[in-house]
Amino acid sequence: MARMDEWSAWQRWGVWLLGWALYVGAFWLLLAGAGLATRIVALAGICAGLLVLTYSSKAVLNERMRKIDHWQLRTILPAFLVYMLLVLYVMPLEAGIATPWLKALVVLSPMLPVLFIAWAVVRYVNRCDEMERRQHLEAAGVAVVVVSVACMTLGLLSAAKLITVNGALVLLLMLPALCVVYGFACTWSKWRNRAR
Amino acid sequence: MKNRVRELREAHGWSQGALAEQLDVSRQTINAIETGKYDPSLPLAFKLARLFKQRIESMFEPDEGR
Repeated sequence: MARMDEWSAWQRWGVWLLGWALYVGAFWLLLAGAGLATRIVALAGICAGLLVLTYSSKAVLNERMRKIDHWQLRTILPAFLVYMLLVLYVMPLEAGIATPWLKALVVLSPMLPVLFIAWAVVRYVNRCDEMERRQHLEAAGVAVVVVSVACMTLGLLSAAKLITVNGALVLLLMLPALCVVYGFACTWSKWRNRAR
Repeated sequence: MKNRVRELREAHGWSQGALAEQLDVSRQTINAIETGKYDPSLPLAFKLARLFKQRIESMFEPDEGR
């Protein structure tokens, strides 16, 4: 069977769209459904969606999966699954805990897989080739600028009492916002060099 | 920097992907080098020269206009 990056354009884009559909659909199922079976199906769907998206995203950019990409997938996917399980099943336990240190331990438990994923991303970037490392550096720079400017804007508006900002929510969204902008900037940079 | 990477690659009948695999870099890196969007580091330039059995100065020359 031919490698995915050698498939025709419509096949590669079709699989990519399927990956997004699987990922978004499974997330919706996770938010909508409460039963154990529904959650298991949703988590399996999210993992499958991420798997399909990783392969097809490379393919739509006319890129092959290399050893480091397989390594990244093998490392990050299980860590992401552990993160989701901790958020879904361990974090809610804090409501019934009175001891502050135990409560802190339970609430901070998802940080373990998050730190592991951060280490894996750094290791992945270090193993990329020189131009990709430059792309990652530029993307990280763009993410820092966009998110910090957005935070400062919110801060100024909040200080002038024009809006009310939930500080805890802003702090919680900081890392996801950095990751999303970083992802977009990286994709944009790769997209410019997709032509053969 | 002007270079002859595309010309030499095509003379060998290799695709960008095939050359990228031999150099252990991504295909887009080869594409960026060929289109002049990215100048390779010295180690990568030497790898390219060695692969094509060329002298490095015959493959790369400074673009005086830039």
